[in-house]
Amino acid sequence: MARVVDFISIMLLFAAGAAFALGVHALGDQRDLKALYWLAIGALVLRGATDALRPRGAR
Amino acid sequence: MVALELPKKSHALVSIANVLLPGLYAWVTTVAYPASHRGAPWPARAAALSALVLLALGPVVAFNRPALGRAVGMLGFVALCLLTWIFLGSLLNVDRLEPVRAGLGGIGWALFGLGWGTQRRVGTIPEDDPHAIFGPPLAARDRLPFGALIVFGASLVGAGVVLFLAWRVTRAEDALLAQCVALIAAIALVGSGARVALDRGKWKPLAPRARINAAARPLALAALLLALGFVWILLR
Repeated sequence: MARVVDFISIMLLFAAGAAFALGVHALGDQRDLKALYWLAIGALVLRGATDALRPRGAR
Repeated sequence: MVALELPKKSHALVSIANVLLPGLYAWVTTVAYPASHRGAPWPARAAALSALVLLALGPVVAFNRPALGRAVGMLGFVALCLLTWIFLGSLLNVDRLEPVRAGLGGIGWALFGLGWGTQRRVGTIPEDDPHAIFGPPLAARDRLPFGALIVFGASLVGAGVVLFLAWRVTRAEDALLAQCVALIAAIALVGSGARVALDRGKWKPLAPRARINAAARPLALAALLLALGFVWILLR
């Protein structure tokens, strides 16, 4: 199960990268709302990727 | 005695040249050239000349007082170059810049930064350093998790793609914003990629459910945003 969570974490990292790329791409196409949308999703997914790996407060 | 002194002097000359040559190149292409334009204000020219003086002074001072030398030659030089650009104002508009010269100037600045670094002198032995720790080589405490290099490499490639896409933004008023956004996204991707690549084995003792729960809030928000996006597409 731990390996599955690790795999999900890696996939989330890739998804975040793709979302950031879509966001910056949309910015280039002058679609500001779409850019904001994808950048926000990228930030949230990236946070999810690191939180799934190392929960906050864990030592 | 002469044979001993000569390498020291040549090393000193090489380290001064390492800083001076790229710094001079960066200064000529990105500071002196725009400051020499007709119509450049005199404070910009004065700041540019002062920057050159500090550039030359820094490596010389650094031989006896390294911290002061770095402050003068690196921080002082960069600060005065920035001041020059501020005084130049509209003379530095994007439409007036020549891309090749600006790009070469950027390389000069990168080499200037590297020139201030230190490297091991030719012929010296690391163990001769008084700070060297003797004894058997220290063994690594752990091994990299499986696929760490692939995950980190992929995050680096992703960061590169985001930075590359930012150059597609051609509107002058949005280009800087796109570069900032891309830079922040790239830093976040590389930072998180390194964490995901290296720390995987470290937190395995934690229950997988606890790890999923920890990520639930940001992922739920992301899912909500995605769902809203789909609804928006359907409604249009």
